[in-house]
Amino acid sequence: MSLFGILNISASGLTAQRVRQDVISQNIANVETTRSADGGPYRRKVVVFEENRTQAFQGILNDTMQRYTNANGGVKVSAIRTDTSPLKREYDPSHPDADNEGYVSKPNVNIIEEMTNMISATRAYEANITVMNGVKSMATKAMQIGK
Amino acid sequence: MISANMGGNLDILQSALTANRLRYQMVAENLSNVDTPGYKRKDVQFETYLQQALSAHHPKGISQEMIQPKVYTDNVNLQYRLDGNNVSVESETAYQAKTQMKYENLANLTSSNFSRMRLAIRNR
Repeated sequence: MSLFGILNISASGLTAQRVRQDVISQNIANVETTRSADGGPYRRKVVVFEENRTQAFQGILNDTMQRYTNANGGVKVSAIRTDTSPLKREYDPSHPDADNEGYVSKPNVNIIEEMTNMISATRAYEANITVMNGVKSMATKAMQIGK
Repeated sequence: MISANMGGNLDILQSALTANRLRYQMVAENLSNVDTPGYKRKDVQFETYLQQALSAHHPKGISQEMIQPKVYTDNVNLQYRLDGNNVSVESETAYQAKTQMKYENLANLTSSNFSRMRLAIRNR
């Protein structure tokens, strides 16, 4: 892969972190939502990251011979899953969605956890930007060979 | 054809540039996979091969096949990460800066090799 191909790897990292950030924003925005599209309270969503490999048989063979053949590289979001952990139950008989005993089921979103994930996503995003800037600098230097 | 015997060790410089470009590609992959569960960071072996070749041969006698860079997977586990991923953003970013500087320095060296040749040819 040439220097410019490395930009694609970083771009995939940026995309993946942005999708993660979108999902985090969605979770935070819906932290008190008791009526979601499929009925019931909103359930937290999570992204699943996966390494983006070109897994042809030839690729596996070459990897065991210690030669690198990952043509696309980077990361991809393989799924956006629903978190199946239990919902929070609050006692609030005056709420329109309270059940017979006066409890309301609230989304299983923990704001602190979402904020921590957001910081992590921002950090990873910035790291990928640094890599891209490095590629630009290296390519500029390489193109001055022999000038 | 410009060979390693003319105006400096251009063959070795070229191999080093390729190795560092490959290493930078691994850094890019590591940083894009910093949150992927179970991912192990990748790195490139080159300097050890170069050192072995230099201890056995004269620099002018080293061919590019002797010092082929190889990608390896670093299986060291980080204690503070529970998802099986062993990429630390801070270390990897520092490594990225180091690799970038190495590459640019090597490009500078190659460039100055050609400048010297040009000086010898043109005498200015």
